[in-house]
Amino acid sequence: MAYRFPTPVDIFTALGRSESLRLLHRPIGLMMPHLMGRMNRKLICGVIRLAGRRIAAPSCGSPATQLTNTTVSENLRDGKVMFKTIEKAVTTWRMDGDFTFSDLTIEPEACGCEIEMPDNSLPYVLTHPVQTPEDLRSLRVPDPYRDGRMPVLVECVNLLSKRFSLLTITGGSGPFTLASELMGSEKAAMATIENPDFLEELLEYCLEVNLRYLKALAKAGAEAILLGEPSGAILSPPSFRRFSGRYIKQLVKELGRPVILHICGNASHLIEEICDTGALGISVDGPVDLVDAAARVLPHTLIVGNMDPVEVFLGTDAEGVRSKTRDMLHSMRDFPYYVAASGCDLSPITPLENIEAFIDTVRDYR
Amino acid sequence: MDQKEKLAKAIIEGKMSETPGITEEALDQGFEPGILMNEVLIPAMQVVGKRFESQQYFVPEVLVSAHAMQGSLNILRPLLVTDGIKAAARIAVGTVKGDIHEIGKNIVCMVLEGAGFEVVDLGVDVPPPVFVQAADDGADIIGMSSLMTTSRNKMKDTLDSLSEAGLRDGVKVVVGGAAVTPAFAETIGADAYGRDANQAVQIIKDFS
Repeated sequence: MAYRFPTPVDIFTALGRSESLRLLHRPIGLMMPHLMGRMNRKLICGVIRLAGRRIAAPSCGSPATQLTNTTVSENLRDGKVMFKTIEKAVTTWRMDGDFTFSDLTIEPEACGCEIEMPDNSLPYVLTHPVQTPEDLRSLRVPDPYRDGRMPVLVECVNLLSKRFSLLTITGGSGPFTLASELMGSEKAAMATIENPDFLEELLEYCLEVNLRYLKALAKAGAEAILLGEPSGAILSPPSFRRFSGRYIKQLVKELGRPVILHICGNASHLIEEICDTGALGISVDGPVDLVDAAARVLPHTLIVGNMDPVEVFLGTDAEGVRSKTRDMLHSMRDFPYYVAASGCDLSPITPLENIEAFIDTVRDYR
Repeated sequence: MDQKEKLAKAIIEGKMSETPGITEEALDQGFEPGILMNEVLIPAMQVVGKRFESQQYFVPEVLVSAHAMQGSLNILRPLLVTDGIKAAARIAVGTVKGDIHEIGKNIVCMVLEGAGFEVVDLGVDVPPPVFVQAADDGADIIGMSSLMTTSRNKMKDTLDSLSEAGLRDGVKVVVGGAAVTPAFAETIGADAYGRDANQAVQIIKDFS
């Protein structure tokens, strides 16, 4: 491959990853924005505009466990282990940002759901404790420093933000997704029609849980939040506005950190609703037509996505990933605020050379 | 509007609390259970399916309609049995191991029941041996759902387990769910891929 001159973002991120060039205990990198105050929409859009190349942000926590010979569940139970894994991924792959694992069972578990935690895939919720108004009243808002595995993420974010001066991004579950776990997804879906008052009361609680947890993560150093609202994909646009968007809007306002909203599956019918939440960015999954979505978002809104984690990352080799990634980048060439990413979480057994091929292709594309 | 139209309207509009009452009234007026099933329940769910395809309806609307239909079916089913009308086939349906998505699977179960099939709901997070047991217990068709790309390979494991148990030739296997594509269904050797509940009904009717 021909030599490419480093772009501004190459220099920034190299400094942000370095362990030797430190100032006030953290690497220089994006120190200026950090000192100027927290990241906001304008600043992030500015950085992306001036980057000189595309930013790569594959959701690669699970496969990065191959680099540290750990299991996914070991990482999700211990903030130091997770930190080590992400540190290794960021330095090995020269990543543009540091992202924690995405685990949407953290909030449900802290609120009382039982979960199943397989060794090598993401955990899932088994029980749905909120069935009656009494159940709802007996809930309390979890303490992010004490309850469930919330402290694991707080610790990991804390360590990451000290180790790197990159954009530290962590995740959380959206209010309707949390409500769906607490009630059971079918009951929550039906409640949008049959029992909206109860659902709204539950959503108020979920918003409180989300805010308290995400504020703790922000305090620990998270600059942006990737909010996962997969359950929202099943709602009609008006229902989404009422049972998800409205709460996310409030969350965005009160959190004071940029939020990127991720919806799994096909969210093509919700692009306008998602933008209306005030989210900095919208992250979409494989089934969404990226160009169509990008043409519909508001100005100064990032569009993030959406290389298929299975068909491409698992199903092809490095050459296949390179060619698909180039096609994707080419189709998005007219959109300044595009961030190249995987459509959803990558499987833990994703070949590492495929992840490398993705990141390198994005880095080299002009 | 006669009772049949009233029942169809209540199903399409998802009036869960009204359908049992309307069904009772229709039976009192002398409508045959088989007629109600074939001329009301099935066409009403087809209308719901069409509205879903055209994005007039989304998942919650389909769910309440399916439950409204089921409210009627719960009254009709015992009568159909006494009338000697037998289910066309027995179908065991479940979401595969590692995946707890229930909604799509439940809609498929309800719509299949509404179409006159005997449905065994195996639930969610179903490991391969449970599907094998269902086949051993006399299911004619196995339906598997997966919404997560990480769990869909369990479908292949189930097919392998069925072969190992010597039961693969005796059953048809239909797969579906957001993580599954027709190409994937073919790769793992399933008999068919169903995009949604209505298509699943059509596929299974074509089998018999």
